[in-house]
Amino acid sequence: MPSKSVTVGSSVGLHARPAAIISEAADGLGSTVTINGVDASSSLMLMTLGAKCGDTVEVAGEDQSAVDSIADLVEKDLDA
Amino acid sequence: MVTGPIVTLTANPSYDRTVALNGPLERGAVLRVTQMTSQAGGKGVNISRAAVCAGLATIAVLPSRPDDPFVHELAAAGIDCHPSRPAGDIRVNLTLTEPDGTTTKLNGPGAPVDAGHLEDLAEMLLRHAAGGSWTVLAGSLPPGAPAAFYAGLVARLRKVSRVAVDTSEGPLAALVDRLSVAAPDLLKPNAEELASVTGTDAQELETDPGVTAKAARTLVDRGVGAVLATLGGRGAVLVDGDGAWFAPPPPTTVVSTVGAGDCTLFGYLLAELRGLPAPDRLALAVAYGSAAAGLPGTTIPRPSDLHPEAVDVQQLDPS
Repeated sequence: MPSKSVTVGSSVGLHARPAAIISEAADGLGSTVTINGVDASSSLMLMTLGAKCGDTVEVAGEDQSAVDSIADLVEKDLDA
Repeated sequence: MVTGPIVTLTANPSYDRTVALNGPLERGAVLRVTQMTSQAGGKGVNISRAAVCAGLATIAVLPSRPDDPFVHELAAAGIDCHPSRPAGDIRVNLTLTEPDGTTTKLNGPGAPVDAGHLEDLAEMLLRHAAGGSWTVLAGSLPPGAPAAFYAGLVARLRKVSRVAVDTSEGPLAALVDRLSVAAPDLLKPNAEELASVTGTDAQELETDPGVTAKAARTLVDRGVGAVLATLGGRGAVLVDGDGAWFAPPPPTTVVSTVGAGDCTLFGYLLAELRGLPAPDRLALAVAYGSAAAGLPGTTIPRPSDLHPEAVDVQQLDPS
């Protein structure tokens, strides 16, 4: 299964706005993508990870391009 | 934000043994057993297991010999276990299951404790609670313990940690009698337990979230930080100083409700530790409880089993 380790780029971590943006993007994909084992389309589950800026997380899924697109978002500073 | 571990107390731990019979249970007969399983159990232990599953640090405090297999089992499960001086052997709770689904439970009493054992346990707990985020007092007390044991602990713990309590009968009544000095930050009663301490009717609470919120509100008014009242298959009600919310569970095929209440409580704590607002805390609590109910035995849901978005949280009239 494709997976990718990436560093969280948002200054607030995977919380609030970044979690909402990532979950919306994941919801629009044709396949399920997980971040550290939780469904990336659930902003609430993303926030339970407590992942902070600079933390490394594992993005995984069945489809490589879906994993890549979510991994790119995780690396960006979405709160900027 | 680094949060300290969730510290759990299991005052009356048990080995939960399940014996599957290949036919009906017959008194006086020799019966064949098809399967026998054993697990270190207790409400506090379940909450520590859920914490490990979610990647949170946790400490379990319980009375046990340091070399008891119970302690080794928890350590192997990733739980930092701190045993205090026990009064005797860890009890056994035996469940006999028959092929037609009938179950018979034989619950051991636990070794009787004296004041010295309880003070050892309290001191062990206080030592670890000081570095923790939440301290959870859950489950029954061993024989010999005064009903006010939890109330006394809450009064001492309040100075060093946030405290959640999930208990019933005498220990719950004794705690509610002493809320002026021992109000916990979170209380998690079911309908029957909430009814018993608020002079209301359990059946009415279970069918009407508004009535449940009103009963829970009386405890919040007396100093309890938040009341998370579980209503079995009907979901849960959360009342705190800011409001009241109700969430029915998402459609769930119930397999085993054993441990579901413990998972509900853990879901609330996890959301609270991540700084989420009250409606999200209730959503995660209900998502955890219903995911646990859909899994066999006391199996703890993994984060990938959870669907809090499927939980519809409704704000209740504050009156």
